[in-house]
Amino acid sequence: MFITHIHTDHMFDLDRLLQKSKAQAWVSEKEPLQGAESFVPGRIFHIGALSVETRLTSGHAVGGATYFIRGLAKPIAIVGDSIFAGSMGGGKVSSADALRNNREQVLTLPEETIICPGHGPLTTVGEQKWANPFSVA
Amino acid sequence: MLAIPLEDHFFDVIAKAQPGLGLSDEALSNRAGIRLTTLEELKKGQVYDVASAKVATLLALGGESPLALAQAR
Repeated sequence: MFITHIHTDHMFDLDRLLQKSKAQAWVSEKEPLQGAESFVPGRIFHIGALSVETRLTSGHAVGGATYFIRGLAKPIAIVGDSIFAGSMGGGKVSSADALRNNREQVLTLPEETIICPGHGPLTTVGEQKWANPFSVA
Repeated sequence: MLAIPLEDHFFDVIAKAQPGLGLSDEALSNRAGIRLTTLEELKKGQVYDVASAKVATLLALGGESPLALAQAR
């Protein structure tokens, strides 16, 4: 179980989920959480045929993480609240960091990458390069 | 299939971009060349094409997407 950030709406009922699933939870070292193991962003997990690359996308949250998954028909980025279709999460910690991380850690992924935000619809990296007002300088 | 709506409207985007630049409403409206009351209405969801474009430019919101967002209500 990979946690993008520890805002309540993204980890509500985590304890029960862990208890029922017996899964291992992982969270960025910048947001340590009881019951979850921490990783240093950049670490790559391997789960069967899948690889899960962790990227630091802080700014909305202190330890915001994006999980870039390869091994499916198309690559997927689980981004939490870092970027939305047509917007982004508020820069509660640092607007500058949030913008920079989105541009450097998300929008540099392959264009066919499916972005799965924590709110709103799915999109792709290619679409957000032209449709996201924060990404088009 | 149930379509998930966009999370943010244009006024949400303004609210997220403005603090990052440290601009008050007064400063933003002055620099954009629009009335403060117009900005306040934009931030409540009113759509004015020209004013929206001016604010988007000031906030470094790119492309035509801010206007598309503003009009997609």
